[in-house]
Parts: sequence; C-alpha cells; structure tokens
Amino acid sequence: MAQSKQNLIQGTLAMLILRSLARGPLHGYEIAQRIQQSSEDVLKVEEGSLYPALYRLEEQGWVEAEWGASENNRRAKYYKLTRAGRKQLAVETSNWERLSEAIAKVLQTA
Amino acid sequence: MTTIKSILRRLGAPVRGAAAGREIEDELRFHIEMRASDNIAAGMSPEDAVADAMRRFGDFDQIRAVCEGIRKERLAGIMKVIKGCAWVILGCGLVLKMSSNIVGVVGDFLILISLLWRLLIHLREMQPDRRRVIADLRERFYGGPLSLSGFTEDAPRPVPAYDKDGRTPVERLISDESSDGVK
Repeated sequence: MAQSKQNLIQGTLAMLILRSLARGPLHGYEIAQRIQQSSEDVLKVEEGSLYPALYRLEEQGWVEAEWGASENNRRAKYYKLTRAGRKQLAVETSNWERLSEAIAKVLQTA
Repeated sequence: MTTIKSILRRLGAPVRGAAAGREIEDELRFHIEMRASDNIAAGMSPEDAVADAMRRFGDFDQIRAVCEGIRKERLAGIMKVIKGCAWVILGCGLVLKMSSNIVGVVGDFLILISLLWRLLIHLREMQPDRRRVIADLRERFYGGPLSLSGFTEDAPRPVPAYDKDGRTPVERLISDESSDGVK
C-alpha cells in the first residue's frame, strides 16, 4: 500500500511539474511555487523531492535544463518542456482525467 | 539546430563529473536561498527564514546524493550507448574491409582478364600484318611460297632454301638481276 501510494505521488508530481512548465521555462523554486499557487495552497510539494523528480524527467528527455540568470540576477537552472515532454503531458493528463472520472463514478454509486 | 544543441547538452551534462556535482549543489542551494529570501520578505528573522527553508527543503545531503545517483545512471546509460555504437562501428568496419577485399580480388581478376583479352585481340590483329610482310619477302626473294611455323591458315607450300641448281636465295637474286641486266 505504501509503495502504491509512493508511485501515485511520484507519477502525479511528474505530471504537475510538466504542467507547470507548459507555459514556459522555470527554475526549481518557481516550479514549487507555481504548483502551490495553482492548487491554492492545497498541494505543498516537499521542495527537496522536486529535484530528483526533475532529474528523472530530464533523464527521460521530457524536460531539458539550461543555466541562466534569475529575476534577482542570480545564476539559476531553468527547465523547459521538450517536444516529447509535451506529448507525455498530454498522455498523463488524459490518464489522470480518466482515473479521476472513474473514481468519481465509483464514489457516486457506492 | 536547437535539437542538435539539445542532444549535445544532454549527452555532455552527465560527463562533466565534478563540475556537474557542483552544479547540483548550486541548484539546491539556490532553492533554499530563494525560500529564505521570501521568508525574510514575509517578515521572518533571517535565522528563522533559513531554518524554515531548510526544513521545507528536506534532507539536503540525501537529496543531493539522489540527484548524483540519477546523474550517474544517465552517465552509465550513455556509456552503454557509446559502447554499443563502438561495437557497431567496429563491426561495420570489418564488414566493409572484408567486402572491399572481395571487391578488390574480383576487380583484379577482371582487370587481368581484360588485359589478356586485349592482348589476344592485339595478336589476332597483328597476324595479317606479319603475313603481308612474309608475302612481300616471298615475292621479293623467293618468288614462291614460304612456310613459317605458327601460320597454317592459307599457309604457302614450303620452299627449300636452295633451288635445284644449289643456289641460295641471295645468289639466285643476284644471278636473276645480272641476267636481267644482260638482257
């Protein structure tokens, strides 16, 4: 049970990161902020866990990173979606919608 | 072009070793510092701001180690691909070398055949010339047919070197010319 919960969280985090990057390149801190703000503070990412997830996404070729200057002129690593990442986001979003619809149906009928 | 740059960057990133390790640390530190700055802007004391940022971030060393591990996995994967490519290139090279040897041998054989063919044609073309030269000699010195070995087609009948009077062809020629002069 713990394992499946962890997988769900990991998969969901990847989807949320991809969705955050859909509007343009962001550095890690901005990604965490974007997720928190978009969910109206419901989702709070354990900030450190964001980075292994980002590295995994980079390994899979769904995001790519480039060093640049942040808004306060600090050196920051910016992540952006690749073409493969955009496709993966579409797949993940579709899967998530199907899953949430199915769960909603079960909850309504049960 | 962007794709090529992206591929090169992706290939190069994990190979940078220690520099890549420092980049991971820089990235994680940047995150904590950004959070601390926001905390200070929200009214926290610097000490509380940093402590809160550290707490929210989690175990820095563990996260850095995980990121390093992922980077090393990528490196191992890339090395595997490079090794695979090297084997494929080596195999292709061997196949090409073997093919070129076969092509070379066949080519040499064809060149040899064509040279021999050309030589035969040349010999066949040369044969009538030799016949004509021999016919000229015959008419000039012997006044009769001459036989040479190797030219059997339309071969003239053999003629003895000495005539019935025991003269050599030269003596006969001189004698004929002198008799013409007498006439």
